[in-house]
Amino acid sequence: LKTSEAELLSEAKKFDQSALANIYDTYSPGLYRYAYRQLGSQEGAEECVAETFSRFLDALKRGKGPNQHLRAYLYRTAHNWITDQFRRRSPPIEPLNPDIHSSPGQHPEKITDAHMTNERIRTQLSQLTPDQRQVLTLKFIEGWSNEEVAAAMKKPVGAVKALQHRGLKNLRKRMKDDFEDRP
Amino acid sequence: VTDKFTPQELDSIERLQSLKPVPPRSPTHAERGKAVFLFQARQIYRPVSPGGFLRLNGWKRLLQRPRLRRSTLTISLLLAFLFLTASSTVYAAQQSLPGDQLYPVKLRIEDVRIALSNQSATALALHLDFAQERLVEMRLTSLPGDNPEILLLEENFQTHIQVALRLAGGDRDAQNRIQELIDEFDLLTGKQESDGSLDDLESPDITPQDLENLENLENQNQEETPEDQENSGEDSESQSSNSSEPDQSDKDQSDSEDDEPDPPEGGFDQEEEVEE
Repeated sequence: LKTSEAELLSEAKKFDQSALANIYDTYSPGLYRYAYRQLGSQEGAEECVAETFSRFLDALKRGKGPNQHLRAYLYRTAHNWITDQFRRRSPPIEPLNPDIHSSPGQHPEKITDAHMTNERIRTQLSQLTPDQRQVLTLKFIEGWSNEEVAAAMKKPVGAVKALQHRGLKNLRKRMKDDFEDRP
Repeated sequence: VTDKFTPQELDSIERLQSLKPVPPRSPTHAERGKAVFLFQARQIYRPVSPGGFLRLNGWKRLLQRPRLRRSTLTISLLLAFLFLTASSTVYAAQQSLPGDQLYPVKLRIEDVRIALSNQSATALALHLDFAQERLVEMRLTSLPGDNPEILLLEENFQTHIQVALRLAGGDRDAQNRIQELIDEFDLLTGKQESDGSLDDLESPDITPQDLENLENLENQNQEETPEDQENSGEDSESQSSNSSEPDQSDKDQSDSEDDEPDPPEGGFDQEEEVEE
């Protein structure tokens, strides 16, 4: 960021186009990856990013929105949108990308197996509670610290650790059941 | 991840981390998403405000509450009633005379106007106007001259004149007007002392026509006197070159009439001859 987050947010609240473009360029790639890892769909990830920034604008319009921790705010918004999608329907399974077959040095069968495995993990992840899924995703996939996760969830670090412990236990049980049923 | 995990937990974490690889985002989609985001921002933000009245949403919501709307109506009517009452009282007070109930209000309003005048010229004009107003009141009132209200009126007039004199300084116009006011005041108060009423200020014995005739006579006398002097000068020049001699001869004549006659030479002889 060229300027501090506080200055950027201050300008964004005035709907300064430069500040808003800066925010989009800074956070949209990470949000896209975060959404894709849970949804497994490029279209879904793009939709999640668009909806997250749209909600951010609505908050600014109402005179609300974050005064700090902008990244945590945007990821929390994206998480809520993804949770809504999981509640409405099962996450769509992305069709195989035809380019995969032409990837050099990778056997198509292994690629397909990896893809199917990832989809099963996403499904198991989506069956956790929203808080458990958020903790596991942010910490073990996005690589955030406990403090950063706590800030994003507006919970104390101890609660985050407890959610992490229960989430891993729950996920382990689901993985065990799923992989035993479908080796 | 620095926390300590069981082997089972580590296995789950390892499986989760298999989700990390993400296909690259389409640059076209990214640019389109950014354009849509900035377009939405421009749509939300309107640099031109919708006008003063439309911005007063808080006040409008407050005034539209039913309970407050009734209170607002009551307060507005009350304020309008008070304003009309105060205005009519001030107007009526301007027409009041000494002895009226509103006369003190009139004096109080004058005091306020003077107190609010921030320039000495304005204050001077007000004092002169109010002194003039006292004279008008003296003419119009039917109270006798020894009435306490009249005495207060005269005192008020003198106060205005004193302050006006102090404010006038070297202003000749103001001084002349003050003098006129004082003269008129003296005239009015003198008439009041003579008969105790201002109803018959004009003397019944001397009519304005008489006064005019008197003035004409005085003017004629002033015009004739120089001519007489010139005629007498011509006579004196024929008899004597000294212009002071006629006066001296007159003086000699008067002296000869008042004092014991000095017998001139042959004077008595002529009388005696006539008697004989």
